[in-house]
Amino acid sequence: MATINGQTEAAQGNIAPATVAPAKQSLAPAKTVDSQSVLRRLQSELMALMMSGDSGISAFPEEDNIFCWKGTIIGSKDTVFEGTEYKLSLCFPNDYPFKPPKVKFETTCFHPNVDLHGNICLDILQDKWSSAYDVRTILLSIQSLLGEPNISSPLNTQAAQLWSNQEEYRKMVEKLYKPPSACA
Amino acid sequence: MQESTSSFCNLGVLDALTDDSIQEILESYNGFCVTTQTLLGGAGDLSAGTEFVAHVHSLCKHGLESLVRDHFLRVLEEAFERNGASKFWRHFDAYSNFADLKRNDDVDINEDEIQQVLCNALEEISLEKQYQEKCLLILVHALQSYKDQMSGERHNFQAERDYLVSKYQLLVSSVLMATLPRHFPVILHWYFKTRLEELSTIMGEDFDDDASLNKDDMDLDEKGKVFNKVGEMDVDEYYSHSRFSENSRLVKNIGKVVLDLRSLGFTSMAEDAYASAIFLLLKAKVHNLAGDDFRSSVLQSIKSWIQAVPLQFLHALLVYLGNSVSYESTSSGLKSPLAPQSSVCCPGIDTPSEGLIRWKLRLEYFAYETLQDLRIAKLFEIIVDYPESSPAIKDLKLCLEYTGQHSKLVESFISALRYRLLTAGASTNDILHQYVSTIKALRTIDPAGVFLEAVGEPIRDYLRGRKDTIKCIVTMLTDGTSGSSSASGNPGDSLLEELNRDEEIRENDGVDDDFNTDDRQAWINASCWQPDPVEADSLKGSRNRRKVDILGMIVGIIGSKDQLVNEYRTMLAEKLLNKSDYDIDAEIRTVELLKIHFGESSLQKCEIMLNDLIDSKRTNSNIKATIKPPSQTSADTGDNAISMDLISATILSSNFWPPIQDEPLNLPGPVDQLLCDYAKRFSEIKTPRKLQWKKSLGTVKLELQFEDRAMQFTVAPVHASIIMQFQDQMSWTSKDLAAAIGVPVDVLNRRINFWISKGIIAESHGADSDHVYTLMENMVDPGKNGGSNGSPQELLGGDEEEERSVASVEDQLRKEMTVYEKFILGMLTNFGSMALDRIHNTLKMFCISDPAYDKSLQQLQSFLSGLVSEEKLEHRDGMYFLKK
Amino acid sequence: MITSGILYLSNWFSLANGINYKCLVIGSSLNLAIRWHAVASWTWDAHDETCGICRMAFDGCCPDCKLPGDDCPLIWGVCNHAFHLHCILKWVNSQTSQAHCPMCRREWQFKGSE
Repeated sequence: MATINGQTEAAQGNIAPATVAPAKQSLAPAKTVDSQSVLRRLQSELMALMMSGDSGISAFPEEDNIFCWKGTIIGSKDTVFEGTEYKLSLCFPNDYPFKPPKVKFETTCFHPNVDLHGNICLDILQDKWSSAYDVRTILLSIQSLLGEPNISSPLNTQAAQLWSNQEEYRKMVEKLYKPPSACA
Repeated sequence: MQESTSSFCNLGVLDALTDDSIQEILESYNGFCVTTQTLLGGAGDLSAGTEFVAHVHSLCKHGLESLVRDHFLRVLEEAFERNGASKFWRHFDAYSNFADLKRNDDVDINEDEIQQVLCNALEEISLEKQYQEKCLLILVHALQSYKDQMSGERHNFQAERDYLVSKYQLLVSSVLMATLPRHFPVILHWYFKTRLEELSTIMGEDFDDDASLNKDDMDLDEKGKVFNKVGEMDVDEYYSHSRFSENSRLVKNIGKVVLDLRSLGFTSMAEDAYASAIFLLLKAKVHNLAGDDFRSSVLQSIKSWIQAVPLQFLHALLVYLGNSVSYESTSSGLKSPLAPQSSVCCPGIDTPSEGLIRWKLRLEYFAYETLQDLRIAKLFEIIVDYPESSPAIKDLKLCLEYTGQHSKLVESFISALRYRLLTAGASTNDILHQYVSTIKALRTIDPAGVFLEAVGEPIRDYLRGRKDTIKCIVTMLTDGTSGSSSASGNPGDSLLEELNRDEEIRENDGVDDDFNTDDRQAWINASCWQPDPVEADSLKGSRNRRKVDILGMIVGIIGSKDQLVNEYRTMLAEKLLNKSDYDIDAEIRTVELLKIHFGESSLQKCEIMLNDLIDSKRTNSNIKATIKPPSQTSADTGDNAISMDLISATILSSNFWPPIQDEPLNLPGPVDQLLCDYAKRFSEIKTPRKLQWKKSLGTVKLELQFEDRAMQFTVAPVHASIIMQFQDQMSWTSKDLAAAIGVPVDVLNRRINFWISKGIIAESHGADSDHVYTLMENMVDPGKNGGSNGSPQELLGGDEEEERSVASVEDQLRKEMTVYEKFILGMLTNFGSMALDRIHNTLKMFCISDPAYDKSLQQLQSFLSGLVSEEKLEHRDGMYFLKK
Repeated sequence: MITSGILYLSNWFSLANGINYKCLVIGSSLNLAIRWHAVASWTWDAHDETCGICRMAFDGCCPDCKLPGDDCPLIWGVCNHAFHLHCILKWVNSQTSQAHCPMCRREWQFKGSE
């Protein structure tokens, strides 16, 4: 009886990630190892981002899921977006960094390359993705996209048309801007 | 019936009284009074009996029976007061100061005298009482014979007799009780005490004979069996032992006293007296047997002694009392353990009497409690002695199981700890060893670890306040040579080895013990849940561990296994860096053991470090086997050339090692050249990898050969570089030497002390307050370095204050704090505001790699308040915000 | 024998003497013999410190490996960018069309070992 118990317990124990060697062999390798390496990459990105001290961009994983991050971008100085703060969401796929994350604006952003749902048209998030990009470079790219939109292929045509009139554009930005509430 | 008729008649009789009859009544009454007085007067003169009977008859004829009775009893009472009680008490007047003595005070008392006085007094009062009873019987007979005459037939006079006798008995005891002096119970106590001691000396001799016989002939196990057999044996049967008859005289004496006392109505007082004497004796015996020797179990001997002495005595007493059946026993209440039972009368055949069993239980409980208190009071010493003291621990466990007074243990032990261990004078090592011994010892008593939790808390609290705790813990766990860690284990075993062995043993026994993987623990928790004993604070004990897990309790001091592993890694790094061979068998074993307890992943870096040593060994031989001969690579083949064979290296994967402090150092030219060649060969073999020397690290074995002798040293590279500079130049100024070696002057001055202390270099003062160091040509004072034969091998350096080559854990902690701050600011930027526990959980979740977040909620809170006071954060309504 | 690395004090000088050992002469009174055990760390001879794909240090190993060094080698592209071999293979395999260097977007080709 005791031996039987011993075996059940051992079997139970094997489910835990950090246990004896034989357990690891019995697990399906590919998926676990992959998500493990995604996890480690995201963790090192988080660490790098936290330590980098870039101003105007920030991001942090949501409470219990390192695959979903909340990002914050502050409009750069000397652009129409100066003084505004935008919230974004970043969702990382299981094969990150070999595939790009899905990035969206959570707060309304009046911008030629951002649609009403917050979707962003940015090449590095699509076909020009490289696994050398990371959260930090993505956020920095989006931050610079704010001041330098790509007018030729707009998602928001109204914004694209208004872009030439920076003074009016600024008014529009201010009118539509909703500062993020303190509570997440 | 009789009485009611007679009293009813009385009224009628009154009218019919004639003067004659009045006269007769008066005369008879007077006569009755006089004869009563004569009878009870104290002269012991029964000759007035016949006259007395006649008067009684006469009075009865007139229906004055009750008057007769009442008067007689009244006179009897007076007589008893006068001739019995007051005389009786007068015997003890000399001892009236006893009343103020405590029962166990040692006073100079003539025990024989007390005994004599008590016996005399009892005999006297008993005689008096017997006489008075005789008189009473005369009255009974008188009344009876009157009735017989009247009805012409014989009545059963039992009822009349019982009535009067019980009246008398009541009278006797109430008179005595009413006049009882305070010192009498004390005298009784002393009496029984001395008699029992006497008895126990006689009986104890037999007992000791038995015990020593057993000791000589049998090993402990068998001895235990014999004792058990005695315990199981019919209590009565044991007493039929022939030797006991020798004591029967003494028992009879005591029994006589008890009987006398009973007949005087002192049943319960007598019982109290000998009971307390027995308990006192038992207590003394327990103290005597238990003593301060914790290396043997005494419980069994105590139990055997209870059987052999007090129970034997009680049995004999009961038999004696039971044989002389007395009427009082029924009136004294059945609850007494001494209430005689019919079965007692036939010893050796019947089962032990209920009373005796009750006595046995009472005595055993008392013995358990006494031993328990004794052991609890000495628990600290017992644990210091553990495991030699485990017999005492086992006794204590049995006692506590019986009495259930675990909380006593907890309180008393905690205060002993506070007073004796948790003080500035105790070294961290001592405290830790005592902690481990405490765990080991108490888990025998308390397998669930609940009391242990309560007892361990103050130790853990205290240790957390000491700086060197982690280091000591790691040393204790992993270093077998550090001393007294495992008295039970093989010498040289680390605590970890010992724990592991214990665990294996227990697993082989089929007892599932705790494992450290959380799932396993959870499974065990779920499968063997049982409510906590009420004595311990349920909030504390129940939360994680059900089984006592020594390692877990040690890790509990530090707070997290990561910190412990981290400290171990630092120590391991230092150890490995100081190795000049590649022998790491002991370290591999330790890491394997740690892996079992802490999981493979936490020790991955340690494993890579060990692997580096294995790889280094392979690479080292590969490089040396394939490198071109030095004559071809190096143009400089002067006198100072040395062979590559004398070089070896440890090659680190530095990412996995703790931060290593390398100080710049110029190596001696030939060595530097060889290291260059070595590195070059490495890049050729391992391209595109290359080597970076950490020149101040490593070990150098040196032999200095003088004309008359050779000396060997194992030193750090800096020491070797210093001494080798003296190859070309006999004497150096400190400035020049420091420049040649490439170290600051103060470092040089410190390091060179090693050679000065060996008498190899002499220091003198040169110009500009510069030191001048000179090689000693003729070795000074050979005795100074422990013999001139060169055999003593000096271990690394000799600078006691050798800097650690590995960055301290404290430095690493400082780094941690910066990281936490950045993480907290980062999450608040994106989430706006967060409560304490959410910040805590988020850090736990995401701050997991180097340094991982392992702080408690309280630690975080104080850290956050620090940030608030630095005006980086705001704290409102339980939420933290970024300070805008 | 000497290459075994485990030598004991009692015999390592004599062994050394047997091969290619010369006493160092100091003045006329002191000879000196040594045996030097040094410490070094190895590093990849790359320009970067971390792999652009997995973000782990080159001198560490890629997320899928346990041991650094020989078990988890670096590989260079013709563009001279280095990655953990295992990482760049995954990247190349994840691209549907011609793979580019994650760092410089040039067409990815392994640098020939020649």
